Amino acid sequence: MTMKPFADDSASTTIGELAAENGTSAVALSGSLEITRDKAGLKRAQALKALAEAICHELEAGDLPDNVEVAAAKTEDVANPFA
Amino acid sequence: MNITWRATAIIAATLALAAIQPAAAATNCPTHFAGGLEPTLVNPKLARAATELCNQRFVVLHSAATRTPLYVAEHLTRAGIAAARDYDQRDNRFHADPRLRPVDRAELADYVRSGFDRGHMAPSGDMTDEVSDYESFSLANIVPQIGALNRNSWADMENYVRTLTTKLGDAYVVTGPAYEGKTIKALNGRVLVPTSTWKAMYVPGQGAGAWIATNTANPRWQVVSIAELARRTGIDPFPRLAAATKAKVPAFPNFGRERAKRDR
Repeated sequence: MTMKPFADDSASTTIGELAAENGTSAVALSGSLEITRDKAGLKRAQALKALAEAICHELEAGDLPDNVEVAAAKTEDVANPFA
Repeated sequence: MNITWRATAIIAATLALAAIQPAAAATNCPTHFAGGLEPTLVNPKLARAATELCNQRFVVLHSAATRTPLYVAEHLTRAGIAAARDYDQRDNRFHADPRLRPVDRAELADYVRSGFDRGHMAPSGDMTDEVSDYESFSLANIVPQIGALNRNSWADMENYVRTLTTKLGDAYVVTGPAYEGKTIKALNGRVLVPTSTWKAMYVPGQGAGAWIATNTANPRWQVVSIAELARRTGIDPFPRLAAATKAKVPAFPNFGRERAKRDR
């Protein structure tokens, strides 16, 4: 994994069907991950552990607010160019 | 990200630069299309600011009017899906597409803290290596998608398409946003938010059909014929198909929540 959690708004890392998207105010994990009892499963489990550890490491190093402000959808209406 | 890969990505981007074609011209990357023919823009307004971008495993028709793709097309094969599934751990980076002028394209800043996901049209999960996966993270392959759709039922449908392709051998898939209604929401005043997203699938020898899912917190899903999709979106994804094939509603599963409740 090359992603540094919370460092940018562009990095993404994927383990199987589980995707982690980096953001400066949040890291989003989505999807599912099957960890089989074999060597491939161990590789996936280790990757998941490395990701969780990197996220914890970044959070533990910071002076955190109780709650960071979460984005609300902000859009404006424009005319449909294809209507 | 290692240096070798970065260099490869830059070379790929440079090569692709030569592949930009005006939409009016015949496609420059026919292998991604059923019968080698690109989708027909039934609604001529779609063609106004459109640019074709060829990539290794998919082609994008990008619109400077929406700063999103209008459609992306892929030819999926059993071997390609197997390679994509073997490519189990991947690192990548969303990026503005260097082949497009800044004024015409989405930038990372348009999406940041917008409340919308960056929804892939050609899924990263279909890509087989670092170069093709990097191409799928271009914002020219991305639309603003509600997280509730992107992360759940849309991802399930993408997985279903991979599984069905593995079962049947190969499939042509065209995916895109739909913009329905008089007014459309725009991120940062620049990137238009689709009212729905859709995916059409044609399996040679089997038939064709499509899904349309509303880009809303509780997505509504419809399984429709290719003819109905073309009427709704202004795009005929498979112009070479016979009218009878286009008129048929496929026996695709519905990935909506209502259906899941009914089946329980």
